[in-house]
Amino acid sequence: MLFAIVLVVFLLLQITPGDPARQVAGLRAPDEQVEKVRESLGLTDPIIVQYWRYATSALGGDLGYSYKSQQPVTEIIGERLEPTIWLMVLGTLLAILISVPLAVIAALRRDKLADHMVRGFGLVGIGMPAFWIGVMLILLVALPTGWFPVGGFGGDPLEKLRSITLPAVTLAIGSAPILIRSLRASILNILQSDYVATARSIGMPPRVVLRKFVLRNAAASTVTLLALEIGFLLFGAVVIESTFAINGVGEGIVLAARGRDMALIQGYTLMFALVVVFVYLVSDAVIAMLDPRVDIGS
Amino acid sequence: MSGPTGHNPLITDSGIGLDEVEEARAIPSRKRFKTVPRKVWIGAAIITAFALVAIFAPLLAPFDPLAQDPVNNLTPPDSTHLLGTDELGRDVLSRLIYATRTDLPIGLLAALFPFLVGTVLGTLAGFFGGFIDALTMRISDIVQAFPSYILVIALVFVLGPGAKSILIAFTALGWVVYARIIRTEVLRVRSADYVKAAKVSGLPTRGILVRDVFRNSVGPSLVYFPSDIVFATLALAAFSFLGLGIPPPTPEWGAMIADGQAHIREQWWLSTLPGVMIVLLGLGYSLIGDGLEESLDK
Amino acid sequence: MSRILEVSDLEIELELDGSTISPVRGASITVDRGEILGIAGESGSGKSLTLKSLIGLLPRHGMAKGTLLFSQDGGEPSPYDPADVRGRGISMVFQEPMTALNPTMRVGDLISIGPRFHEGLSRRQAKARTLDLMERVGLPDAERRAKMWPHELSGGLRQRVMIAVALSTKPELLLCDEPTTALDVSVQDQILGLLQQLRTDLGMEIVFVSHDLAVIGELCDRVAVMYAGRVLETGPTTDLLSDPRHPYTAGLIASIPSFDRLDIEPRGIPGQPPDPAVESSGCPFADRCAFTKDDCRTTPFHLTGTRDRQTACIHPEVLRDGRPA
Repeated sequence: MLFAIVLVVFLLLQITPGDPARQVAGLRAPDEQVEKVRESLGLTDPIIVQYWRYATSALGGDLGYSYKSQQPVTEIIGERLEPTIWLMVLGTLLAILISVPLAVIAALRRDKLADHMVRGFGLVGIGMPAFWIGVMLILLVALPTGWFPVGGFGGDPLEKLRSITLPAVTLAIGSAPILIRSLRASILNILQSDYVATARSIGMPPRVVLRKFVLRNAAASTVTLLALEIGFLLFGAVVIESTFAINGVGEGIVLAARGRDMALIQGYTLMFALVVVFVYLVSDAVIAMLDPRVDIGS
Repeated sequence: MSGPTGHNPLITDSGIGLDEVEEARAIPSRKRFKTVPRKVWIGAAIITAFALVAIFAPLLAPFDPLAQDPVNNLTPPDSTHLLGTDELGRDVLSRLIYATRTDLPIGLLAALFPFLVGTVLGTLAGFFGGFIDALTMRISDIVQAFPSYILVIALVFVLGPGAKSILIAFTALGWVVYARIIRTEVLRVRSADYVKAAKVSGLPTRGILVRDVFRNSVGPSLVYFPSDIVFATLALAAFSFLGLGIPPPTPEWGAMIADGQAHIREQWWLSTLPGVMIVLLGLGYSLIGDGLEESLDK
Repeated sequence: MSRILEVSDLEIELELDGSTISPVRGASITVDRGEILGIAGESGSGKSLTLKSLIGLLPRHGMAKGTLLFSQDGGEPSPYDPADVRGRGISMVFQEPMTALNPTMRVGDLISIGPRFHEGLSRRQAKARTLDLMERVGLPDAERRAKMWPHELSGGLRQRVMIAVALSTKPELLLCDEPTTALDVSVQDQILGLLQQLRTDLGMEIVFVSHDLAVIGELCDRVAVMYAGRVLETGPTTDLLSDPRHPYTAGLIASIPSFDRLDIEPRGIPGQPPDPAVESSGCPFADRCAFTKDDCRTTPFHLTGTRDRQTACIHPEVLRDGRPA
């Protein structure tokens, strides 16, 4: 699986139009100089060799060198990791805090006013672009109150928290409609299950039924849901970072794409793919902990 | 099941009774979508309204959306420019109207192509099984391992900005979901009793494939399709917002939000209004999708 | 009076897709002290819903009317609130042991949660009660088993756990909704034996719902036969099975395969039950009955007979003239 990922990323570079050797040597360099640069970059070797070189150095932590930015790719990416981690963690937590209670209320009061309101919010919210939510929050919260900066990622931990709040809220609001929709469906399913009927039949009050019978069984599917949406959440981070000028990897990959920095794009793509694989593994482990039916075989 | 006299008694003590009658009524027919709920029509009306705006844009828009007037830029709404002008003096209302010509068709196609490709591949995989199935599933596993939107960034980077690249990128990655949805359905329907019954009674295979199996399997894909259009349109807007999508000066809602962000303090409507358009469009499609899901459930 | 449960004129209506159907149209059943009552009928006869309505477990868009009387403290049956009586006098055993137990709770915890809540037992007391119950329902090695998860047990064991859960709240009346249908025949017999034992040991009453008349014949003291939402015939089991007073009951009996008389083919009853959405006043079985007479459809439905033996058929004499053709 890992090799497939690296292969795809590597192939991307191969099909990109443009000549890396010329880009390094300079647009006006004479042809023979470009050829010399090409040789020194190892681009004259067979494809297989190039791939092998890239793969092995990547696994060793070396993702190549970006000529555009005059820095090793790994370094560039490393510098940008912190803000994104803050954003993703806080954003996901807020997303859960918003979505789970709303989904539970909507499921319990099915077809009543509360349910319709939640689902209405979902219908409208699904069409809201995350970047627009961000701009609206800047307009409606940051500017009038001045509590939060309109951009950038600050210095000490408190500043960092303050500057990441609105972006995290944006991420949460942007993902909530999708999460709520699936969670509500899953909880409704649980409410109609036989074991909930059993619980009721021995006279368990709603509070107990909710805690021990409903939520416990919904926990595993919630984690699955979040893991499945990780691609969506990551893209949300990309967009939100650009909106709020947060110097994380999201903004990084956009700048790399705009600046046509090939090595950097490769590196970012690889990194994101690895993050996804990592998230899947972690979520599998968490699910195995939450659901006794799952075998921790892997 | 026939008794000694050759006719077909409904043996009443083995619990078949009413259940068998239900099965018989479930035999496929185009009347699968029974009563179409009201919200589908409301959603369709919204979409039709947008489509009409797109078609009659030249008649509806008071100005040429590309006509710049730098002297009169960033003016508030007044009698000539009903929604004011943007930073290059272009009429905002006209640009909003003309943007439908970009966002509507591309958003639709970016979901339609994956739908077509995925549905065909998924049906073949599910029905014929064996090598086709294994190959399709392997490829989709690898594709799904990647955060799809990140990969779209990479692909768009490779292919260059513009509508064509976005469509190619979306199709290359988006078909997977449709393939899986319909493959699951095809597998389920394949093993249903009435298909076995048809096979036993000697109906030709191709006939079975097209008529009964496909018509019963396509439901969930059709339900997913409208929400996929929403995601595709949102992604298109997001890419344009980031500067990786439709290149300027073509009017596009996402790009307009990006342009307006710098002036959010004074001319807040520049970024707000395009977002409202996207939300409305999303609402229309979501209503259709939700309504279809409701009528499919029964 | 030695009755503990009296249900009179139970009517249940459900709203489906905008139209109203009546799966139960006036059912009356009674349970005497120490008795096992069987309710027999095919799918769609309303027997499960009748049972569930006794403890208020109706589906979302469901409405029930009628009189429910239950003897809660050993006295005369009196009106009660179905939602209240759950875990406080009446318990239920469900059909599918595979799905009826909470997958995220250990078996022992599931059995002790009822007593801990209703009686405020401490952990230790609840554990003792749980182990005792588990042994009573035939789950050996209780200490070890109590720590297991439901998915680690087989169908038969899970059903025993289900019964233990139902018993954990010390019910006077145990409702069983086809508890053996999903089990292998050999396990079926064990569970039936268990239920009989429980009746003897605990003096509990049982209402046993099943489509399988043979199973009912083995276990129950009295039977009520339901069809299309109504009770067609009631009586002591042996009487009813040897001398049915309704053609439908006779049809059910004839469709039981018998190992003793391999030469007699089980015969089904041709036709289908009536549509629950359609109103009707006469005998609901008239369209399928081999002996229908003109007044069967026009005479309003009613039961005749004694307290212990009733039938809704206005021409039961047809059954004395020989087996149905």
